[in-house]
Amino acid sequence: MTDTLTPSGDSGPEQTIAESTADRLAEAEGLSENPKSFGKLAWERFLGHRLALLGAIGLLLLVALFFIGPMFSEFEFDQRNVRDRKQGPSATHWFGTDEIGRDLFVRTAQGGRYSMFIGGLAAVVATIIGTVLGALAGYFGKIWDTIISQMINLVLIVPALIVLSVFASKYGAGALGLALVLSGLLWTRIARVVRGVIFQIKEQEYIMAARAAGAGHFRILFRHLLPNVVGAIAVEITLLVGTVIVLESTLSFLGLGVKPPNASLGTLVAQAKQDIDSDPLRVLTPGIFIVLIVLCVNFLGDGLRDALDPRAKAVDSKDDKKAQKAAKKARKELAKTGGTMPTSAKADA
Amino acid sequence: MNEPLLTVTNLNVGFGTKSGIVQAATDINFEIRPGEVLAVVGESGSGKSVTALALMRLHPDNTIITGDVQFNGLDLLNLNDRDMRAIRGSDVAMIFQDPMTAMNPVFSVGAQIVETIRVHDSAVSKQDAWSRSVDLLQLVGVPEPKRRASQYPHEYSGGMRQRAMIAMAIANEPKLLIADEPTTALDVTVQAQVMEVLHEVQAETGSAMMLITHDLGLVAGSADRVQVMYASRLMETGTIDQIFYESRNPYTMALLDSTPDVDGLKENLEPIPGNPPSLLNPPSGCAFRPRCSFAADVCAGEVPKRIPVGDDHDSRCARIDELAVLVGETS
Repeated sequence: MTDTLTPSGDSGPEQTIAESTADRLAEAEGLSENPKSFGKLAWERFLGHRLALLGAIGLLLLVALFFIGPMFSEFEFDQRNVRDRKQGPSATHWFGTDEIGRDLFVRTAQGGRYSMFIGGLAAVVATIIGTVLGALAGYFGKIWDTIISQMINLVLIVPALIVLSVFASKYGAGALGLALVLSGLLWTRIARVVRGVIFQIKEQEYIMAARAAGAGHFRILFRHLLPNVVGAIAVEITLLVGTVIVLESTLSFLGLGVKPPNASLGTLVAQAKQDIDSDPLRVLTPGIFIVLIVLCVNFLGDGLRDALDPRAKAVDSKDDKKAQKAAKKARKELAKTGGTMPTSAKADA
Repeated sequence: MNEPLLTVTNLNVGFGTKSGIVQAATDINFEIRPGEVLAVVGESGSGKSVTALALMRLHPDNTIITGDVQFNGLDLLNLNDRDMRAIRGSDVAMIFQDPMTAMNPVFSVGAQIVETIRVHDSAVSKQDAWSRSVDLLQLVGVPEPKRRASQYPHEYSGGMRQRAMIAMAIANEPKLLIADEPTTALDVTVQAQVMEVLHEVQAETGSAMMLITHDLGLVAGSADRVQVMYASRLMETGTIDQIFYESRNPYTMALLDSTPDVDGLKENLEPIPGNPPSLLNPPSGCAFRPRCSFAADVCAGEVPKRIPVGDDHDSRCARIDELAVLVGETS
């Protein structure tokens, strides 16, 4: 660009401004530390979020258990050992066996993989559909909003379980098909959230400023508005994963989901229910895994939302702890001295 | 050089509301010459911002605009959307009132300046645009611009944010800067600094500026010409000296009487009684009539015309000929 705008080394008028007022302001604002990139800050905030970290680690452990665990077992998921029927947990069968002697650890792992696959895929597809439609409805409003809102209402009044059972009994219950049908039923939640947030922030002055800077609709929608919705979407995705896994388990429990000899966490619960009195553990184990997956994913989403919000404060746990300690000490001293301020604060008082 | 950069002819802006058309700007005629600073002064709701937004075609959908706006040889009101977008942010840039809400909270300040540059010239590489945004931040007096560029708006103070807004506005070296109450949201000391920056920048880039404000004090130090708006109409237009020392309009005078001056020579500040009229149902004749101390029967008749009273100086008042005498009597 032209020279006029480049601040030169000599004492032009811009130098006076830059040096006099600006430096004072810099001092006043206490600028000393080095800047961190957004990614690094988000990562730090995420690490500072204990529950989210717990969720992420838990999820990794579950993935490891479901994918790697079966390699250490000598059994196949559909291998029958009639002599070892209905056994409790043991060194050979870690989670016991079912009524036809199949190893329940291997079957649980298989069911877990299946549930995770369906949950993840359906959540991603539903998020894409919901985000695009919600954004269009929220940003353009008017006829777009009317049509998309009515679509949302229409899908919402469709009883999911009935559609799913019709679909499953007619076309069988392939994981891929099931995930797609589920996402076709569940995108509405994301769409509503995205529509609402965009409705709210499109009136903000920075969107007007973006228009004043010459940005078109497409650019405003995808470059200026959607990044503001990411946090809300992150939460919705994780809730969605939970919903999908529970729905799939429900279907499988009703006998409409995965077909034998394949297993899902839902079918495992269903098969175990007849022995619930004699062997409650068989019902509990897959049930607990369903709960664990859903919990971990939800914790993860909570942390993601906080981490992805640049307005959230940077978490510096060390400094934080130091500050807490100092405050505690000061309070103690305050109590001892009977109300007078400790030394460091006295100067101000 | 004296060819006007922007010529506005018979601009009318109305909003359709459920209770009828609100006439927000009526019969606006003015021009801005290259490099000059034109201040538009008026109370809230007098149509200042509406006029500016109409020039940029950033008005809401329920707006009715008539008239003619010529900018640099282009007919702004009849340009297609694509060409209009090309002008926004490059030839005409805007600085908004509230720096707290006018920046996107999820992008770093530098990234937002880069965005403004690359919207209009995608050939500029990201690195070049980034280093240019650092230069711009330095130019507007943001300390440690390298570091500050990668910070987010919430990490800036109000004054700093407004500086960054200015940097963003001048990123493409606009021919015309529209500053819509650029200092209203800031406290007084910071106001002065920001105005100083705005001035330096405007002088540096040689761009013309339309400074919208309700603060006459701000105008005094920074504008070449002033136009005073009241209830959607231009009341008086003139050079800064003409407006401040030779005003020929009761509304301008009342405004000046209600503004404190630095020397504290004024003993009493005279507030203007009453409130601005409803634009949905304006009073007949002169809109200022109900509040004007010089109002007479003639004022209730037709809306007064803008009457030239000197070089570049005109005033809208039905009693303009008697005004000089009347002013002498009351003061």
